[in-house]
Amino acid sequence: MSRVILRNFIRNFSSASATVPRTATTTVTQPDSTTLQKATVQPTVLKPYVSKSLQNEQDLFGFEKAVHIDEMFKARLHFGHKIGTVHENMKWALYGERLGVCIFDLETTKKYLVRALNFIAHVSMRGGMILFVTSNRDSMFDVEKAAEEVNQYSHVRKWQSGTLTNTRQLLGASVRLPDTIVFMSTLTSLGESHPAIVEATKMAIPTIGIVDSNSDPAYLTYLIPANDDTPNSTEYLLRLFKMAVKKGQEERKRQQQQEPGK
Amino acid sequence: MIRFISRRSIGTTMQAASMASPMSSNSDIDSSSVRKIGKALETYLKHSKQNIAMMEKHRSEFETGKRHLAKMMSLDIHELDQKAIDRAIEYLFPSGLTDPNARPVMRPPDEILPRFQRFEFDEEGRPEGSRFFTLNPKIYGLLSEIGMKTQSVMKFYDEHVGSRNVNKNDLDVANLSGSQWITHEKMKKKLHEKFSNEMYAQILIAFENLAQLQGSSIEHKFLMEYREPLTASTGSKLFGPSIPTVQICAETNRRYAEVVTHCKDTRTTVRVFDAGKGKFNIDGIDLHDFRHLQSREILLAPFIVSSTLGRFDVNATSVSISAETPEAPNRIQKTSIGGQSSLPRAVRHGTSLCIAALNPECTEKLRLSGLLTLDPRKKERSKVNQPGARAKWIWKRR
Repeated sequence: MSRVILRNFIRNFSSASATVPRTATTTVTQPDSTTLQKATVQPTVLKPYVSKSLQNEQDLFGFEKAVHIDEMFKARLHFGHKIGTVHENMKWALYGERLGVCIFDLETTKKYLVRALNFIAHVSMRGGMILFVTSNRDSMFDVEKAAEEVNQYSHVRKWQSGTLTNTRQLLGASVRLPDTIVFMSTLTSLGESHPAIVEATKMAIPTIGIVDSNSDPAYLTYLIPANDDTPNSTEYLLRLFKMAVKKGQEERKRQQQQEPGK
Repeated sequence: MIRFISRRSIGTTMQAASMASPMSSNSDIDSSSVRKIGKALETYLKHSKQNIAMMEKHRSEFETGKRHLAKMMSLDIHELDQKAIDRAIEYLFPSGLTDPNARPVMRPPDEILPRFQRFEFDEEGRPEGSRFFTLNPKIYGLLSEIGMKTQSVMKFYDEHVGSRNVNKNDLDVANLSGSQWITHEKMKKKLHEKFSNEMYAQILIAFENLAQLQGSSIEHKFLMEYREPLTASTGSKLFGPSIPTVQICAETNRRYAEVVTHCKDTRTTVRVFDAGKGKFNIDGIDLHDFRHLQSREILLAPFIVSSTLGRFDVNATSVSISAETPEAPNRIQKTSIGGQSSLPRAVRHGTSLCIAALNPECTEKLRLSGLLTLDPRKKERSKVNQPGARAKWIWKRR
């Protein structure tokens, strides 16, 4: 599935101004339909249309250095659930098992975490809206506080179905939807996937999910295989997310000051 | 923050929207300047404009209506304030409906018509408030506030129990006696947000949980923001006139309460004095002058229920209601007031209300015995071609 295409054409009302990929060349601004068709199979053909800062793969915000494996270990990010509950699609991220508990491979986790942080920072740099979602009762106040601190959005309560897909009915007006949704825990108390995941997919909103060993990674765009219910780990991850958002916002401010004419 | 209410031109908003675009290279600047405002904002602005136009129309209609009304009532337009309008409407459209909300009204459209839901956005179209996507940001904000306060109270108690450095009263349960949680309606008004009954129940559970904690007295002020005095609510629940306020007589320096009530065709103004001897003065007649036991029992009922026999003096004057209404050309004016039952019953209702005012402890007793409730029954009019309200002439074959 090509995210780029969906974001361009399926989501009619969005922060189109903020997140539409840009061309590097002045001649071609929009990919034509044949290119888009090709991109459904091979998304890399859209690369020339993406903005300059995304052309090179380098770590623009330096998250590779900001994330340390020993800190992740101290925050207990490596603990999964009991081996009996492991989800078939999460086995790739596991290092092994100790005393009947799944252990994540922190090398893998780091790779994915850095990628997710990079994505958040890029969205934030483009003035995107980030929605933090959790269904965990222990961490809900922390998540709300963190979102408020970085001037972003949070949803830690009961998910009213249609919040993203049916805003016209529920709010009386269509509103700008979040550009990214971060799931601090993807499972509800019943052990089902959070209903917002499917809604976000329907609206082609990219999602970041912290997936524990018993969660279903389906429909999530950016996965972070890690422990999602220990206070330490939530705290650590929230700190990183906040940092990423702030870095993006600072970069954005810096760019705006450079080009005040815009 | 900008409220997109009035004529904020789309042009400026477009500029604002283009501000939101990323700044990667110079070529981007050119393409972004023509970028259109988000579709969501556009529709919102359209609806907002429609609403403003509609309200404008209704307002001008109201002004025209006012001028017509002034002409009909031969009043000057400047004299016609809302009170005069209400009087005129009552005169022009007499209504027998009991509920005042069901009667015809003429009020400014801003007071009557449903309000247009306004969101606040910033220049980039980002909705305001971090809980916006919960759909009930205010109510969930309150729930979170209660939750965090609950945590802090528990922490405070655990840290300070048994220590001498803390004021002992702070470790107690909050004293909330004499008050109750504000009603659903009032909470809606306070938070400016609609929410379901289930949500209201959830908030009450959260509040109750916080209020019963040891050490909740440190949050006493916060809790009292969402509580109201008990007495204030009883008055509003009563059918008929509410409990009057206590006044002080300038001459005798005694407390008294006065209320106007009615039963059937009898309207009475009852004034009950505190620190009395149990005297009655009903249109100059004492209790013993009522010949029937029924009348005397009715008059004494509120004193027996509230066990205040001989503590209050009662003054009552009564008039016939139909004597005050304009005389129909072909009908004999009825001027007599009630007799052995309805006059004492009217006085009883007035007395009970006054006792409830002077002696608030027995309000609940009086209410439960039904003495504070107005009896709204009236004589049913007789119908044309019938001897009575329901009775028919005897049918006979010619």
